Amino acid sequence: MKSGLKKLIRVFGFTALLIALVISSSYMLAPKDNTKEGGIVNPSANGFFSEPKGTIDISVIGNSDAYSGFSPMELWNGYGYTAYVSGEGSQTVAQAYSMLSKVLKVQTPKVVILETDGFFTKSKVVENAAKIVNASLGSSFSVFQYHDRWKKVKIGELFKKPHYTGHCAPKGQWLSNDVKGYNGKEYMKKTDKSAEIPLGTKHSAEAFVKTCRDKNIGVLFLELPSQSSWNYKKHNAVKKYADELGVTFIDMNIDRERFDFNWKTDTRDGGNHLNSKGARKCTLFLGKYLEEKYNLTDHRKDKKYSRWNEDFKDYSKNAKI
Amino acid sequence: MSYTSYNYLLLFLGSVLIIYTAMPQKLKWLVLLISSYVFYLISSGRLVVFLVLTTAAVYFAGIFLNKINDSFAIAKKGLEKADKKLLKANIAWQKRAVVAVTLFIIFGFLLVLKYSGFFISSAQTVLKLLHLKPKLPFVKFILPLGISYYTLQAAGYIIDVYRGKYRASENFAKVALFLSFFPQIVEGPIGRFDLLADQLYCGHSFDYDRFTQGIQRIVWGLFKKMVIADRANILVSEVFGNYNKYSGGVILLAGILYTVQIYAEFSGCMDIVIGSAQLFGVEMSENFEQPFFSKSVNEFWRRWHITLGAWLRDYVFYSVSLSKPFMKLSRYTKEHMSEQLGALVPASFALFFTWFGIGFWHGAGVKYIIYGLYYYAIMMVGMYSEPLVAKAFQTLKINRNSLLTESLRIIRTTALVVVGMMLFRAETVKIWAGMMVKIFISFSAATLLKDSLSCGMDKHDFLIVALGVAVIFAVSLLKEKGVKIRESLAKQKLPVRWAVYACLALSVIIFGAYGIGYDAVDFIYGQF
Amino acid sequence: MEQLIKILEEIKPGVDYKTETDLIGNKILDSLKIVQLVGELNDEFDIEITPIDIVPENFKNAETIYAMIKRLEDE
Repeated sequence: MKSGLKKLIRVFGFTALLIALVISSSYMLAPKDNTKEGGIVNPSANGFFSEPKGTIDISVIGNSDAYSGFSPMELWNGYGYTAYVSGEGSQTVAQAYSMLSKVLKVQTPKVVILETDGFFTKSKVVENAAKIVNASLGSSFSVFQYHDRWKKVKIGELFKKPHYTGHCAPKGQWLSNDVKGYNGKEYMKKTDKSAEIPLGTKHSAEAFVKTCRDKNIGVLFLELPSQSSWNYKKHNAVKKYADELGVTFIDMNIDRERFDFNWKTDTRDGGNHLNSKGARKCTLFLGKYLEEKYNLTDHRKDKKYSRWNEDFKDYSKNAKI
Repeated sequence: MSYTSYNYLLLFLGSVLIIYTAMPQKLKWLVLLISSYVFYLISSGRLVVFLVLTTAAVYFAGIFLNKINDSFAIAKKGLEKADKKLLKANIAWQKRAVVAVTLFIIFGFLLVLKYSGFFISSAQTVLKLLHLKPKLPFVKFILPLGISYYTLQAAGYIIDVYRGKYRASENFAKVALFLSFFPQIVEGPIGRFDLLADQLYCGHSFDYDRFTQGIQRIVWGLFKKMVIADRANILVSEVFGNYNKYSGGVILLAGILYTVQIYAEFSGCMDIVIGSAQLFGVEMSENFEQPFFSKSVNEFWRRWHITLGAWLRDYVFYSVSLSKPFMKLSRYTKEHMSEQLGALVPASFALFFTWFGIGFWHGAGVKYIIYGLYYYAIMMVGMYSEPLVAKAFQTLKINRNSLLTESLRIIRTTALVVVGMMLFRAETVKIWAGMMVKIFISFSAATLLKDSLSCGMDKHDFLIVALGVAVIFAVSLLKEKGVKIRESLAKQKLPVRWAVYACLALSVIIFGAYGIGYDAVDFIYGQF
Repeated sequence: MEQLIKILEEIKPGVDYKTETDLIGNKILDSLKIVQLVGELNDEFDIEITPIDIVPENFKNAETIYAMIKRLEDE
């Protein structure tokens, strides 16, 4: 009969061995570059890795609404602020939180903007729990996300440090010039009713806000115009929740004439996502708010940032506004 | 909630185990019962009502049978022998009625929910043949989780009580737990009340060795399912979905890989669930015994899905072949036929019901019935030709039990099983026939290598599947030779043991076919 | 007992039923053979073997089968 203590030590010992193996295989199999060829998932959301350290002042995190409706290049051209959009399709707030931790590894943003559509990403409680586990496993131990790279990885690559070379000129924005307008009814009808933010989501959102505050980073909740995914009930829910947390919430579905928004011309898919034109309007409006509220630096004349001017040229060639 | 998901393994199983361990002895059963129902509700929602109704039906029928038995025991005292016999006959009739009604109810749910679509479309076909233009409604119900499994367990319970094997339980929770226990609810093993119920109910305190054994068994199951089965699935689903595009060699390869897939998956799932139950101190029946070392199809079915075969043997085959009309038939054949035929003819009748049952239980469709009858036919050929074959071996003076002939028999059995599995997997019988024809007419060895790399699996994938199969084969071979692998592994020094366990766990994490680029594949046997 | 051994030898020849201890475990009797055996026993000994009696313990060897027959004859 073995003693209880000895057994306990064994359990811990084996668990420690396993964790050590997982960490080392995570290191070996993680993509060594943030390009498509490097094997990274969603290269454009991860492009901030290859921006020089500490050069991004504003980080925008969210789902497809964020990468369609926010344009870092317009912000650069209008205000000289450096922003990067890290958007992932149907991102949950748990995933947003793990994205934030990645951003903070290499960048020191002054403001982080969380797009709030992800608060309501539809999933059952169970799926939600799975996604949280998945996201935290995947972000802490990349072997769970990138295990399949054993097929491609070369032996010499295994022990190399990551070296990020991928350059994303639109800084994470998904640029689309398509126009497919929305001609339907007004979707933001005022009501006192409120939608419900799931408990798991709140948990992740609070961790998100706390991390930013601990590092003295400004946090903003933002909702970009989306006719199909937003309504007044959701607005009420997020407004109330943001007030509780003491976070500013900007809902751009309300009073859209403030920035001259037009559903007939500014969406690429009939009211769900914005096109480059819509993104421009929203971004310039936000720029003004950021200028008033935060002490941000205009880098346009700074030689260190000359690459941004080239990127803007590239962007204007592609964006037909 | 799939048994391979984080949800099940980390969240569900982990928290249930912690609560179970923390609970006092007397309440441990409650943890299992509640968690089983939570598991059921997550998967099937309000369809849980059928499980509850089935549980109630067999519970009350059992109580009723107890009452009948008790009153008989009192009434028969002091009766004359003739009167006793009369009373007994009367009682037997009552008991039979109770069981018949109960079975009618619980199999009624199964038939209506699982088979009504099949019955209606069959009726439609018949009416069409009669040149009628019927307008029958198209019905398809969503199946409650595990209905094919818990219905068999419930039926086995009430039949056992009827036969007098044991007294029915007065404890509703015990019966409910026996039918709903979460590790077995999705795809078995099909449990027996006398073996399982007390174990589930009595509550076990935490045991370190049992815990590690359970975890090891779960990881071994994950290895089979995630590394081998889910990877083989890539080629299998591609080729079975578009067999016209592929040459005979690739189709044969897909047939073999599907056999690998279903075995790795089903037996892997059994490892996971038996391991899960072990964590709670519950020993469930084994469902596999190295089936691919079988020397005949008959033997294969004794080693594959053992609990289903055993259920059909005990409750269908014996019921039919020991029934009065059947006894009469065998007496008749014995008197009127040669000795050998006299024994075979009744057996072939009884086996027909068993195999029809196996086929029909797997699914509502002609294909599944043919699947059952395919094995029935093979078995009949084997049975009736056996005297001739034995004689042939004798005259040719070949040793039937030499290593060579035994190996050839194993290969023959496996080949027959692969053909059967292909029928099982193919969308329709027609597609299966088309595939079989193609194997023979368009088999091109020259392009096989190139062709097989064009169905979604690259050479890395093949390598992993091949290595995985080699590991399973080695383990099965050792088991077949009587080596108790886990016991001899446990005797090794700590570094050796840890290296083996860590390698197994790490290979699941790295070589498992999950995540980006792979869809989670549901367990095949859960659909029945 | 003699009678039982004779029946067993008719059903499956070539086995020494007096010494064989595990007819089920050693795969000498399968379900088909058992049904055949039950039919013979029912007729020869005028008993009624029911499915509940068909458990490995009863059919383990000639001894146990004989014990079962005796028990059923008394009922």
